[in-house]
Amino acid sequence: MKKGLKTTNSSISRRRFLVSGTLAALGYLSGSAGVLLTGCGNRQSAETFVAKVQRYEDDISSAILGGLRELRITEREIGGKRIFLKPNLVEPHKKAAHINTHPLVINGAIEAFRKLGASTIIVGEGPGHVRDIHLVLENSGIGDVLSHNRVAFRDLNNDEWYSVPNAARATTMKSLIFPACLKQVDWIVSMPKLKTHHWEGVTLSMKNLFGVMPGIFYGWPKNVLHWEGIPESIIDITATLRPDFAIADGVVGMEGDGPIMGKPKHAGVIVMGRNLTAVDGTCARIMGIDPRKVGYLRIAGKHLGPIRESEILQRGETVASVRTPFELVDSIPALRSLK
Amino acid sequence: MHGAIKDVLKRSLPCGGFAECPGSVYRPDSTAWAVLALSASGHADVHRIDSARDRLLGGRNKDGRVVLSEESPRTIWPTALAALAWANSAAHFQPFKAAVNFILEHSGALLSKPDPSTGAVDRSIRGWPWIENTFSWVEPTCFSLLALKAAGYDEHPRAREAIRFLLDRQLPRGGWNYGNTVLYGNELYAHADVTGIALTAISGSVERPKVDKSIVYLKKEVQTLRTPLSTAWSIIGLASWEEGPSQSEDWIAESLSLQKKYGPYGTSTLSLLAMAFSAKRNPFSFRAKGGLV
Repeated sequence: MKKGLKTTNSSISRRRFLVSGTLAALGYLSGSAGVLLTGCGNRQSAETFVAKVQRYEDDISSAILGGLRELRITEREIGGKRIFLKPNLVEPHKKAAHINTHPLVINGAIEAFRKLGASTIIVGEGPGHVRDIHLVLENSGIGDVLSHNRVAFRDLNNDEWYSVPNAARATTMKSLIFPACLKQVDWIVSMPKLKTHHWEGVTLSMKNLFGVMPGIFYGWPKNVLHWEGIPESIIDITATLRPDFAIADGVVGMEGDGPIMGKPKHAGVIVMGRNLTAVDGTCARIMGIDPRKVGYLRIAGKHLGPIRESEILQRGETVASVRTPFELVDSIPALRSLK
Repeated sequence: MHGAIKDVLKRSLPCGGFAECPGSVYRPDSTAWAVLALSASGHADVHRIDSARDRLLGGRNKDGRVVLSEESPRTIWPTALAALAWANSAAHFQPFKAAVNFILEHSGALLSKPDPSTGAVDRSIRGWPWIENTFSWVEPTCFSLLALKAAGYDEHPRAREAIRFLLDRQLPRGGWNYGNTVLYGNELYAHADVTGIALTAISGSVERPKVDKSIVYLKKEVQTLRTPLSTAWSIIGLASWEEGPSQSEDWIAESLSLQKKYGPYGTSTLSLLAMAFSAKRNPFSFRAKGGLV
């Protein structure tokens, strides 16, 4: 384990947080949004995999494992690694399962990473609207999946913490505070739900990272990030945390007034990839949305990875074959602007 | 319930404060909750309670705020909890007074004009934020209001405004969530824990008809709840309105048994369950020794 950045109350470092490594990857440009990260994200790795999964009762583990192999993620890379899965569990309600990443998708990811030899799997979330983390686990059904698989859960709102310099500075935040458990893993996997979002247009693997920001420092909801600007905060968090992978649950997503009050939308897909910008661009396209019209993707497309279809190597199903336009409500400006 | 208190005591640290989890570091909020629970349960070791109150002084700034971490001075939300922990100790009257003054002098960010995109809430009413220089939200406003009441400031203009804030954030169908009501024409979901907190904070300050829908919502919701934070706050909130459920002790026992599935609860959660166990009425209805009014 290499030594990392300045820590607040945790001495264990995650190897990816090397100051030198991070800063060496940076090129800066001045702009109204501050200093933006360039060159972060490996454009050569900007390929995504789309699997057709019609129902949650299908063999999701095999679908995810197939996608990982198509993306050349094998036992050699995953064997012995500690994998952190970050689903979207923003506000669970028993009668509105389409708000959150489905427990059977999380179950499928656990099984797939175990088949590739992962040594440890941890699931964690810091819900933005709800502080009763046990209610989140009970109502979403995740608690039973974790018990069944004997997988630990971390409440990211209440973990110990460490701070690191903000690698992108799209916001005014000089540093970002993350839960300490993220330094104790080797791979971070964002597991969003395909949803429309009434402020940002869509919420996918990058916006899902709001859930890693501890509520004890950013509030419930994560209002500090809203004040700093949602698209800019998304860029800063992604560029600083640099997650390794995304697995997006698009079996049933949400359309209309997302991310909470929208309607279920069957899209029948799971979308995967190493580059979160490319994954989100592909998800948007599947939802019938031009990613260039989404504020944070416009910025990310210049600095963190590709969003143009021509720059993303598409594996598995073609976007055209699974494209399922999500309803964009005219009365919500952020959704109307996507049309 | 002795088991919960015992587990809380196991998180006490050599510095006098408490950690949120076994083997973890000092947290001011965990320490304040431990003080409140130990006091409410009649714990005999007064010295230990006072040591915890003393430890809270360490995170205090000159302006009276108590922050989560010295490196993050904007994390002001523990201030109200610390004030409540100090309120019953004559030896901590000065920090209590300073914390209450800080609360009186601060508020969340305001918008003078209603923002149609944010729906129904009135952002010109002052409450309190989690983090300095952000909007006011229901929970920090509730705890700040409880701290003002502990100081005897029930009728202070800021206390009356906080009550107005909370009534404004009450959902049309009853209950509260983190602090939004209707967005783009859709009424948002209520959350039991926040509803319990809000009912506790405004009990004794408004007539029952103004919160009747919320009480009805919570009485129904609590029947199916067993997770600790929601269960405890539902019981405390209903007890504050003399509607404490007769099955409370069984529900709390069931809630504690969920630790077999999820592992040990945090200090704050255990403390709250201990307070709910003995809550026959509002457990925050105490007044500071010496009083500010």
